[in-house]
Amino acid sequence: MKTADIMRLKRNFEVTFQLIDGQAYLLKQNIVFKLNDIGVEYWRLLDGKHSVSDIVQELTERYLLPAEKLQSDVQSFFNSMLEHGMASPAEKRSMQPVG
Amino acid sequence: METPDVQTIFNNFKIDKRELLNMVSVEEGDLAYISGSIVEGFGNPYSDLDIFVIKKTIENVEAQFIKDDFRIRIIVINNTRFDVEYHPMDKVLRYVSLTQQFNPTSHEEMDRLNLDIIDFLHRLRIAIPIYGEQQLKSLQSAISLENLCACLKNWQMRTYNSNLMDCKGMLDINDLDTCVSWARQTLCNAVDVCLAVNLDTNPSEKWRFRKLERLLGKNSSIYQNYQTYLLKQVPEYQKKEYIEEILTFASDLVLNSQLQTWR
Repeated sequence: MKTADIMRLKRNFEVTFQLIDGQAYLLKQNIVFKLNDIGVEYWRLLDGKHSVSDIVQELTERYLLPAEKLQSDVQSFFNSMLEHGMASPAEKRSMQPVG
Repeated sequence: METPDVQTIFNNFKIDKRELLNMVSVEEGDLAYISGSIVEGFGNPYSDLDIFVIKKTIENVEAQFIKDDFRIRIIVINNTRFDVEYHPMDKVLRYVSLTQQFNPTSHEEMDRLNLDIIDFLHRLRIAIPIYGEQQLKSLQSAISLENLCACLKNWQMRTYNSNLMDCKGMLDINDLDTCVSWARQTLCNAVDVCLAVNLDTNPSEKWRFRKLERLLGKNSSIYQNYQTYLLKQVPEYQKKEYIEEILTFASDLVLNSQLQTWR
């Protein structure tokens, strides 16, 4: 397994997920990403707990998609989110909220 | 937190319904109702009672306050002051119709269905009739709850996004005290998004804890975190981390609230 596969990303707080008339968008200042259905799932799973491999595993089972295709798709999504500052590598937090 | 019945409300205010109807000059064809925090079940001993009268025309209504499209008459019953709002029926019908036609992608329509109108429609939606029960029921059922909440959610998202950007700017220049207070405000806006997505039409900030309790319960993690983040004392050295935590929690709340209704 490559390092990239086990990397975990966390959504950046300054990015807003917004549903407008059933279409999902990510908004960050002047950057807008339009998300398709599976993109929404990727974004939801950028919670700092799921690696590329975890996401591939979860979505392969749920959507019955080929793992290889999904792997490259999720990796591209990770790269794109990192490149545009939409997400950051997950770190341990000291002030954990309830629940 | 139950809605009290109309007789209990009138008894508490020592109001006789017939005397009230007489004092507010209700005539055949008019609609009169009570609304507000008491009717919604959020009242306290100092809450006032909102009384509304909807008439075909309000031009001849004698009132102390005369605005463009409504009037307010002050009446006193048993040493208690009541502000009675008079609105014309065509305006109320236009407001209701705005909810039916609302297109969530149109900013123009969002501006037409502004927060004042949403507040008016919220009070209409939860109102208890005192005259013209059937007419009130027809108006209440004609309000598109789904569109009203979609519009309210858009307003709350607009405020959330704007305040979030301010927080980012404050963080960038290290204005931490301002940012702590504004991050809390941004969290409040995230809670408002959550409430609107869950069909709470009350746009008032006053009852946020009560509304959240009604929706999720005091023991829910969202309620508990909201309370903790809002009331917590933060030492200087932890402020930056706290701001990021609170905004991350707010961002997750906005995401998860919207995902509830997605697909």
